[in-house]
Amino acid sequence: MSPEMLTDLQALMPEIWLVAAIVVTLTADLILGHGRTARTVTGVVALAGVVGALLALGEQDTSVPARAFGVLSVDGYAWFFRALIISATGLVILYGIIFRGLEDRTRNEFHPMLLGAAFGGCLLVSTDNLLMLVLGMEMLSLPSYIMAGWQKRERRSAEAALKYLVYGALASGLMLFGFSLLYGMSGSLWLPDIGLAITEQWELGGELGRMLVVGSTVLVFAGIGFKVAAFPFHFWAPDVYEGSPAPVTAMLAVASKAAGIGLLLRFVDGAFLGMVVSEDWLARLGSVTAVIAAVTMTYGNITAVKQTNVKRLLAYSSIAHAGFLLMGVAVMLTATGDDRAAVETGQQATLMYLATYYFGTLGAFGCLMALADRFGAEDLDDYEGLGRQAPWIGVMFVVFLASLTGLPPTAGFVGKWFVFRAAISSGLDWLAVVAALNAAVALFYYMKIPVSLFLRGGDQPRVADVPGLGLVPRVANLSILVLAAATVWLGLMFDDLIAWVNASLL
Amino acid sequence: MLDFMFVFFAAIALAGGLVMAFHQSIVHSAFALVAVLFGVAGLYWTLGADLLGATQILLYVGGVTILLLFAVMLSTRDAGRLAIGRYILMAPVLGLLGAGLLRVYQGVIAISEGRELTLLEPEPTSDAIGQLFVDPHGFLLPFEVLSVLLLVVLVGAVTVARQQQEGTPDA
Repeated sequence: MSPEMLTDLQALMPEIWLVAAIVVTLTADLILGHGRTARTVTGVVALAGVVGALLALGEQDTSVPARAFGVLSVDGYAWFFRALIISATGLVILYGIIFRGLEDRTRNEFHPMLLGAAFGGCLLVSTDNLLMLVLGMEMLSLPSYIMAGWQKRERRSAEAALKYLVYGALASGLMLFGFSLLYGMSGSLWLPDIGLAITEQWELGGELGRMLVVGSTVLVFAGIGFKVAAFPFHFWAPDVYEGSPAPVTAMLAVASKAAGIGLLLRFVDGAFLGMVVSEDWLARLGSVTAVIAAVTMTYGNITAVKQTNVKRLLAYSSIAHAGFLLMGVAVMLTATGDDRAAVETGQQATLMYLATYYFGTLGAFGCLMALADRFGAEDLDDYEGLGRQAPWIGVMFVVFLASLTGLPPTAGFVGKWFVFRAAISSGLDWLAVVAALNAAVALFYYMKIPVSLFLRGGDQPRVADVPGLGLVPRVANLSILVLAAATVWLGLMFDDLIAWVNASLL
Repeated sequence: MLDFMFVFFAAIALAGGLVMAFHQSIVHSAFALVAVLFGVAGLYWTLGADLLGATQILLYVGGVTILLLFAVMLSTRDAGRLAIGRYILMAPVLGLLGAGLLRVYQGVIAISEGRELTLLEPEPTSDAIGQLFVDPHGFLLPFEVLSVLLLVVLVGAVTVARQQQEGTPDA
């Protein structure tokens, strides 16, 4: 083995850990059968794989961007997204162990699916090669379709899986079609080459060349928009989020969305903001993206107001958050000329927002699962009075919701602040105003949950479904506590986060 | 010769596509799909992509359509007569989409205009593709990732399809 290949493999160590964990969980399942031991062993192995991947990631030095295997770009940017995706997967595994709904099928096969999706997400955010993009996308999506339908006896779960599969296949097909046009234009699978071809076609290709650029961009954006649940490709999200088992929903809302945003930013940066740019094209694309961002957040928030199922409410709010994330992309695209600083402002805003969204959403889903697990509560009505019975979970839930709303002193405030600042600095004042109005709407519906938890309901205690708390729920609760602490901590001391994000820009 | 081959295979694909879209019986549509895929495979051959053409016939004509036929036969009771009326509302939308795509293809043609196309001497491409699959800077990694993808998806598919026995512990 050549030393060069060894370096390539080292860059891939986190992914190798994930794949190793897939193989070991499958083998353990095969040898140990379906007993309690097998369940424990597969769970521990899956978690060990994630921890190993995170440690391997920690050892990587990304200060000098490196390429691996000719198709991966192992830079700080990939590091940032891989860290988010892998750690989110670890938490989801933990949630999956306590979540009882997964027992419809054997739990042991759930871990390989989850790890496979994480593997795909990691590849997706570290590549600038179209072929690898498609593979990463499928690696992330196919296990997700299966996981969405994991609760076999639950009608809604089967419906979720089918909807996700059908719309997902359509989105993949559209994206592939877009990629084939891009490849036809440039004769290359590499994003920077494609960027050159796009600029050339827009400037010199006449009307037909422009058609080609617009057509391929729309098709590719449709595929990515589906992954991040942006308007008008959001329609799968509410049903799938509601029907999927809660740990899977958390995975879709955090890891899958992060991977989609990671792909979007790298694509936009590589294909549209390369060495030679066409300002005319960027201005148009930028204003369209800004409008999509505004519509996405408004649609998500307005529809969320009416929801009574907490999971569905979080689903619509997650559509709204996709709008906020797209604001940063719009800022990147409206940056004119060689203004690299403005592009970086947009990127920085998106990454900051994503990092804070990560803590808030994972935590909120953790609390949702804890309440569902102990009291079987899923609707706002069921939540009445639970805050007084489970004060820890209740208070932490409020912290996460405050962060998702963007209230100080939580991390969410920092994220929103960066996005607003970026929008205003690049002249998208109207978008900042729309976003501010949306934040107010979000406050209204998010606060329905704490009101239900603490201010409504009688004093008679509800019967908990599960009397005793085992070790694993305790660990899961502890992880939620850590997330809550991080949410508040990052809201007060965000210097480290900014430094990290700045080191992760493309 | 090139023109003849192109017209021949394109006609097969197009005719198959029309039958597929407009035939009332879904089974006939599936068979028409075989013609479409075969025609496209022929176009690949015309362009000198022999491995791609062979794979197209092997996988799509031989595998995917058979699966499709099985799915159709197992899932519909009366061999599926489609009610076209329900989808008539979609027609304007799809028409617009098609018009847009036509413009895009005009763009494609505009790019390739002026490039002289000659019938390539059928030269095996499988050698070069095989080399790329084991070249660390070629497609080695995508090739390996593909095997992980297939493993995970196979396990998932079996899990989805498996009948659950009532009363098994942990099941």
